[in-house]
Amino acid sequence: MKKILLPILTAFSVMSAHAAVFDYSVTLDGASESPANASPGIGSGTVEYDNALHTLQLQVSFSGLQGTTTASHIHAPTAAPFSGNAGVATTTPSFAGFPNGVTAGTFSTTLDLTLNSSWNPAFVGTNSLAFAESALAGDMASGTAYWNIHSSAFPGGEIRGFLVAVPEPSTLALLGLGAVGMAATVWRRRRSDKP
Amino acid sequence: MRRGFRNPLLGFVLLILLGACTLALRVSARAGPPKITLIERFLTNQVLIHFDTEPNVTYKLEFTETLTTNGVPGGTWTNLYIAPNIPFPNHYVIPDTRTPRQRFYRLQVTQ
Repeated sequence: MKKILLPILTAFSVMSAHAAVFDYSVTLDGASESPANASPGIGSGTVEYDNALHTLQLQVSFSGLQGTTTASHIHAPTAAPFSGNAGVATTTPSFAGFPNGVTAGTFSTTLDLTLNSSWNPAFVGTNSLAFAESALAGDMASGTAYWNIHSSAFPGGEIRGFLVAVPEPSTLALLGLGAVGMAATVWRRRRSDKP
Repeated sequence: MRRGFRNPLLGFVLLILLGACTLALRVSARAGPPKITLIERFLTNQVLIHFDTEPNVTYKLEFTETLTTNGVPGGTWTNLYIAPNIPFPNHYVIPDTRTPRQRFYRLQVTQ
């Protein structure tokens, strides 16, 4: 078993270290807010973090909000993964171009993480933007970052969703290869055990 | 040789002092007074008031159209929004109607 696991883990770690793009998906609703609310609103989106270009590509569509939109941000970091609340990490007072005063809409933009305007000054604090980027990257990877849409009915946020990592196709292929390798080993052992 | 407090009362008093110091540290760890971070024009007839909250604190946002009554400081403040006590920090965005009159806002901690 060790003979198989070691190369797989090594290959996985090497690929992870060199990966430049990290994909996240997000599903937003009122039940995910903290405290939860009864909003009928829903939304879904994607976040793509490129650690070589230092960009955050955002895309979301939402509908059925009870109030009209007032602001939207990515918040981080919560004290524990996939629970709790946190301060705003990205652009304040809201993403530039985010549809305001509506109950449904779509939005997409790309944040340049090397610009001050992409960040909430309170999140950056006295640190460098590179440090802030690294911190947010870690928050997204650890499940402590969420996308929140504030509305007139719910000033603390009407719908939100935590960013969930989407496995890269190459990772999936690697996992598939590993599974095939393990199956082959088991098959070989069973065969050799036969009298 | 046995080490420890010979007088249990002394140990109890020291324990109370330690608890008080911990409480004081927790209170002092709270960031400064509540602060409205931004008031911005919004759409055609509204303004948005932004503020951050800290865990386990209740906030009250109020407005008044005058800071004096008959020349005496102190207007009548009207409640606009209460941010409830929750065990997490948060960011609030409160809409208000824009009026032809001036309007002042204040944010208070009510615990």
